[in-house]
Amino acid sequence: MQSPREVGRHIRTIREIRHLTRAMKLVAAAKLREAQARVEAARPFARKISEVLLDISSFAGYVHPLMAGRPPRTVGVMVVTSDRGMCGRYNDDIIKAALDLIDRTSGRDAARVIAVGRVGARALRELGIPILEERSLVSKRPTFALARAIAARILKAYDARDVDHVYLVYSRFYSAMEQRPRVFRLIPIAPVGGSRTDRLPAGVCLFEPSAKEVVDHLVTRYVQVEVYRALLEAEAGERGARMTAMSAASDNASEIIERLTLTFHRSRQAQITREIADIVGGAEALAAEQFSGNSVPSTGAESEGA
Amino acid sequence: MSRKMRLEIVTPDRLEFSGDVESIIAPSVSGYIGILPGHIPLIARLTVGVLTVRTGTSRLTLAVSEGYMEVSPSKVIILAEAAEMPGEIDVERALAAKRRAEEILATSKEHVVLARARASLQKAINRLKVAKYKDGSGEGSPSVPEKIGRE
Repeated sequence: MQSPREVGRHIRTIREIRHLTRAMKLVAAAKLREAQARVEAARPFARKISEVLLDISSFAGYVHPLMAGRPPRTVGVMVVTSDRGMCGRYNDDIIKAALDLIDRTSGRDAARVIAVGRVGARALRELGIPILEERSLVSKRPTFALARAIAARILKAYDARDVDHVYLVYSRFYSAMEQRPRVFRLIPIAPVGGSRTDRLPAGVCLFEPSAKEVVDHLVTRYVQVEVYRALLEAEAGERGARMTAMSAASDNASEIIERLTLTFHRSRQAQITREIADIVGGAEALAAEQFSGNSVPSTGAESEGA
Repeated sequence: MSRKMRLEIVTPDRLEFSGDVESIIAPSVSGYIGILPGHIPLIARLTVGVLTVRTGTSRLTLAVSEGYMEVSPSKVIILAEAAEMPGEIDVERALAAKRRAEEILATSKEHVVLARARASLQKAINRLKVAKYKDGSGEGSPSVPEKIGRE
């Protein structure tokens, strides 16, 4: 059995770890609230852009190349993971979803990854999947400027025929406890309008300045907005996952401390009992010595008493 | 009673406005367009400019930048990169942006930089213009705040 001193040291270590995980949980919780507000605020815009694009696509008399699509020889995948660990299964889930998608579509050799977040970039590179571009947020909040840069990279790769289809793989934020990987096909564009009832009627519609210019512009904007939304969703998801993971870690630490405290008391009790036994044994030996008047070696007395 | 139409103004950051209005005047890339209820379906690209909305009792003025307007029989959706009411505009910041842009325009020779500066100058001037409407929410012709008017 460990000595009480050793157990005590162990308890202190775990307590320090719990301090750490609790602090990380609080930080994640605070940042989660901000991230959540941002993602919820950004959703209507993304939805409306989709709706407008859906309306246009039905009667503009002009089909944008990104909407027409082409056969997928290569598949581009934007994978959004975190830059750091300590967030439970968050990254594993996304990487797994990305791999599933790649294996299901183009196969690993014909995949081109745009990795946002270091964890995903490292994991996919180790698997030998070609990385087209790597970005990291370095724990800063995603900006529209970053989304625009990534969107520009995606469109450039599409124009250069480096990628034929493009998917976004990120964690969709539902709540602090629940984030699920979402695989979304960005290109060819198939906007989702949901169950909208107030669609523009087919037929006459004016375009200002022209159908082609409106559609071209809108398509670019659509790509930017979807990328932006993916980044925001992922950020909120990551904070949520981290908060949940750190909360579980703190609970586990508390449990271990409880168990170790029990061990500590037991071990201390055992030590006291042993000491008392020693003292009693010693006292008896002394008494025996006085009684007999002989000088008996103390070791002998102890073994007699035991 | 005049007829009304539903208007939604959405920016990437939030739903800026949602309500029933009587008329809309929006800055399209080829000039200002007025929209009244019952307008023919229209999709227009918007540029930096002043968006004026009349509701039954008041008149709203917003500074918008790059975006779209979709007019359908039942409602009008305006999607803009930014849409700000006069009260939301930071005049100091807009003035600073204006000065910065002017400085770049005077010194730089690179096309990309110049184009960007021109765009931000436009936005700053637009914001300053709209900021003057602060007190004119109820009236047809807004009173110009003296502080800015004298400059």
